[in-house]
Amino acid sequence: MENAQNLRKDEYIQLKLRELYRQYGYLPYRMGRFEEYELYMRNRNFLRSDRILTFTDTDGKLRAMKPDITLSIVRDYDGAGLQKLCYSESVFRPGNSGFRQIEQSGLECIGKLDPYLEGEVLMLAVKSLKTIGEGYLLDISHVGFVSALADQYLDSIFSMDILKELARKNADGIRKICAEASIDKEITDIFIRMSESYGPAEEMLDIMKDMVRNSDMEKALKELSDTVKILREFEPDGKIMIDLSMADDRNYYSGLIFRGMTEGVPEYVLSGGRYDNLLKRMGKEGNAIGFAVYLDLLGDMDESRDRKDCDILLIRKDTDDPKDIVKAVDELIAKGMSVRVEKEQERIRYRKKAELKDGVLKIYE
Amino acid sequence: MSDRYLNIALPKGRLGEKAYGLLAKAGYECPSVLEESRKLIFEDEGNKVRYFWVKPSDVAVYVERGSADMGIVGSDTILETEPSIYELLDLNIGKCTMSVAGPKGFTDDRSRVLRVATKYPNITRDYYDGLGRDIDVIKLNGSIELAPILALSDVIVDIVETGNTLRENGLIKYTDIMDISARLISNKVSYKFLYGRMTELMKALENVVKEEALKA
Repeated sequence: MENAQNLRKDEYIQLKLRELYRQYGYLPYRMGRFEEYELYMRNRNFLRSDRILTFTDTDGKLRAMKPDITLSIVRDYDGAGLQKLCYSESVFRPGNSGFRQIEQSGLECIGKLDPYLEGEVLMLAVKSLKTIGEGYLLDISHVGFVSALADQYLDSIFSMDILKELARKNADGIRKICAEASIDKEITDIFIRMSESYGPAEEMLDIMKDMVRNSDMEKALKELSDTVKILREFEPDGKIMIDLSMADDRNYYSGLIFRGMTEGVPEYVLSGGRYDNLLKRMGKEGNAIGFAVYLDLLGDMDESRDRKDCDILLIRKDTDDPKDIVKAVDELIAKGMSVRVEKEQERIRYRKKAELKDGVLKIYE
Repeated sequence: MSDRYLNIALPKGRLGEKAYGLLAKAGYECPSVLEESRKLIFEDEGNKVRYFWVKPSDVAVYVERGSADMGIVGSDTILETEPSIYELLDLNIGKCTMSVAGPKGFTDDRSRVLRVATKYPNITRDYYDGLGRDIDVIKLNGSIELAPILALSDVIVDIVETGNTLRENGLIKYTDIMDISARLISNKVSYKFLYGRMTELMKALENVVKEEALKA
């Protein structure tokens, strides 16, 4: 993606997302300080990994390099009305080879939620994905719909196992667990369909009607379809899909759950959902929904690979008058181009090469 | 994008050749795959599939990172490395068991830590955790059968197909931990963008697997 500011793809998206969230009235949240390690210790179930980068601060207290923004935002929530916040921060999480600094943008909506607000958050997720690229998909689901079926027919151990297999779309694994737990064919087939079905939200909502076996499922289905209706008002052509296999994160998510994908990036670039459990855990009233965009993944997108170091590579000779070089550089920059002045052209990726001929700039095509 | 090549990673060796056989029967042929050569990538323009041969334990890595959309891999590797992928189909080939084996007359002395040699430390730890048995895992990369013979370990945890290797080394299979077989896996994101083509392939392959089961 070309952009006037000459930013890296992820930097450009970060800026655009901040603009987008501000347009819809989400206020920026800034985390300048370091949290005490205890905050993450106490809520480790709500973190993706319980390995946290810590250090001893000047006052002797154990503090942490934040692995997550949501915990701080929820901790700061004072329970007064609706809070709409957006952020763009670095988080520190363990990777394959030590801790990594990961750039994240996202938003949180905390207070008393309803389908309109959920629809608005989903709309912003769709718009975020569109900002990243036209080839995108937003998968949504409702954790309650799937777990209500699992809890009705299976004890807690089997229930956990089946949600795990569901998350891997492992139909053979689901059949095996159902057989072990003596689940009849009809219910087994519903789990299989939950694993294999995938499609546009409205088509899937129809299919889900036949899966309902108890009032909790009915309630979840209604919540999901109400939210989709609102979302459609915002985004009539949005590529919104339902994937019921996203159900393994029930400790964290309590209702709506969604993930966004961009063509060419092999992992989810966006992830979010309803996380009322965390508020409850911190002793606060209300609901919460939010999502994060993983900007670090965008660096791997194809466009970034043919990035150039500069527009013009200006080859400087010892015989050139420095005054002429400075003049040429200033002119090029004034035209909006980036210039790199070098004696040799080793390992520089440029669009056009140039040099001075008798003090006059000559650009080669 | 929907007419782009479907990239499929096959495990080098007998299992991969068998798996390719099933894929070919399901209509995803690419005759050049089986030619003797050092080439690693093969394309079939008609079917829009691209196969490549990789080390069996690397298949899941290629798929998880999206360099392959789909792949064929043993369930032992999936359980050991827990990659973030979809596990779409049991191909019913490459069948064997993950088992505990040891020398003749072995009895577990519960007053000592049990030394277990294996290529699969995670599966081993999970299994013995479930039994509440304290163990010392010795991670080896091959010739596991040697470990109890040289008293490097008390027992081994390894995949057992026919049991011949165990017998020839004077070892006995004591317990089966789980059944192992080859699985069709896919990248989670590719699956969504290529849902139609992937489910078509999966269903065609499922039918072939069923036919083969009837023949057996």
